[in-house]
Amino acid sequence: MLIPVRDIRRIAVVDDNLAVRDSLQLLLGVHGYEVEAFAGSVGLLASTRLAVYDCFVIDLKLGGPDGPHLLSSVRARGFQQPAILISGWEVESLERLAADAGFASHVRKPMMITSIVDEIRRVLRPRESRPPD
Amino acid sequence: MTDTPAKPPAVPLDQLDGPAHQLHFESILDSVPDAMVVTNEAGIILAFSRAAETLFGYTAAEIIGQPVNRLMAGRDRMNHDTYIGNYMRTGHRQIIGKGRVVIAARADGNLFPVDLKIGEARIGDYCLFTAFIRDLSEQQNAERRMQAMQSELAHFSRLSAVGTMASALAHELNQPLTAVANYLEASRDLLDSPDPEIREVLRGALSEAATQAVRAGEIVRKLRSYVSRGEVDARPVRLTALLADAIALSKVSRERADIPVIVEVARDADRVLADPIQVQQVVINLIRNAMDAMAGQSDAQIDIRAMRLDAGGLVEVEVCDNGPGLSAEMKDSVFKPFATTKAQGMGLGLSICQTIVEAHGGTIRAVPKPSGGTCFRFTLREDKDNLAT
Ligand SMILES: Nc1ncnc2c1ncn2[C@@H]1O[C@H](COP(=O)(O)OP(=O)(O)OP(=O)(O)O)[C@@H](O)[C@H]1O
Ligand SMILES: [Mg+2]
Repeated sequence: MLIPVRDIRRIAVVDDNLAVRDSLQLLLGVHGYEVEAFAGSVGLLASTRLAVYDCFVIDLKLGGPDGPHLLSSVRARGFQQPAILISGWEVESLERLAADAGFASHVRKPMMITSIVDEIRRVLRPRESRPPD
Repeated sequence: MTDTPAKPPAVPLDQLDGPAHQLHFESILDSVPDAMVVTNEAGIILAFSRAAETLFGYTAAEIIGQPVNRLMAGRDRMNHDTYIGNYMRTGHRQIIGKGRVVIAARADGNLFPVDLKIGEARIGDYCLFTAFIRDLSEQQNAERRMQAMQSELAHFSRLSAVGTMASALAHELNQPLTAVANYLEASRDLLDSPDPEIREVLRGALSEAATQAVRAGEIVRKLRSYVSRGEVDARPVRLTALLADAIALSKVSRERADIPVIVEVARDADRVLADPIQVQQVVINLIRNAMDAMAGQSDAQIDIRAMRLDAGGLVEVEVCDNGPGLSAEMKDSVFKPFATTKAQGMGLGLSICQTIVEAHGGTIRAVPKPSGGTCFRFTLREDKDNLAT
């Protein structure tokens, strides 16, 4: 109530797997998000509209530069929106890897335990517990 | 549709309502994520989005004013004229509003499959066609890669501990399973809506989920059929025949199948002890790596030689290319599983080779070629009982 809410949130999804992209597009679409899906780093970085996204969802291993690399390129261009790392590789230290690279959160594929929708909501939610100053 | 549309005159875009309109339009062209091409009724290109420039390799300046069939190939090139003509004459929507897969042509002459959707816009009296084009070649690559990987995983699993391979397998399974999870989650959220359009979306989501589940099952099934195979079955074989088969197989569904492969087997090196299917797999992997390494080279050539070593009753086979050589990062890790420099690589090829060669009692190594390029050398035991006469 204190914070003005924009009605449509835009998410950029970057994953090199077509089925994953298509299914995320539908799922997030159903939840009222506007989704743009990219098959790789090049596509996202070529977008002239990085500023319009409220959140980035990025796969760990992409053809070409990987997810953390992509995020640092995005950050280097001055965009600070929250990002979520997704990965189908059983990387032991995914938490660490995600945090070190500046991701707000991470979700392990096949996304059956943690819902990506919940994670997006969580990272987009303004800090509620912050006391008023 | 029954009534015939009036035949509107064609209009160049810069005649649309003044500078404000034009600015707006240009920003759309810059930002629309798909390749978008606008034509008039005569099929002349009036606008070309930024993404279309990247996809087709033409600049907007070059292609505007050209007939749209420059962007299409073969049968689709001819059909397109007929479609538009038919539509203008009869109003029969053969292509308007529907997605179709057609073959497109890049500026450099390369052909690639695309998904084409055409919409129609009327602005005043004018009639424009807007085509949205999505590159499908990536999707097809993914399918091809899947097949390649399945056979490689299968061979790998015959011979080595399942543990090493499990991680790659888990990843490949995770992709379709992720799609299943997402489609089902979306379906659950759509379930209560009585809206017929939403019901359609729901139906689509469920059938996609089913398709992806079948795909996951397929990976497991293929794998299972290979796991239970036993030990190496080394028997007397002729190397020349084995190499000829391997070369033929290595060219299946490869872009650079035209690279010359020159084979030279010394007379006293032709008889070896080997499981032919497995050793073929070694040679296929080495040839394919060589092809990949020389992808852009016009002087690409592969030399395969076999000679008898003086000591140890061994035959050495080498597969050489004149590519760029191993990259520095790869020098010490080429044989490690999952070590790869390729976007689509699994990094399993050479580790499979090593497993197979060692199971045959041989060794494999990579040596740089002084004249540039790489040689992979492996040994096999000679067939003492059938030495060449
Ligand atoms: N002939 C070669 N010339 C240059 N580099 C090579 C050659 N063969 C292999 N390599 C390097 O070694 C790496 C590992 O090769 P390997 O065959 O194990 O995996 P891959 O080819 O990357 O993937 P795949 O699992 O599809 O075979 C390659 O990614 C490449 O960097
Ligand atoms: Mg290989």
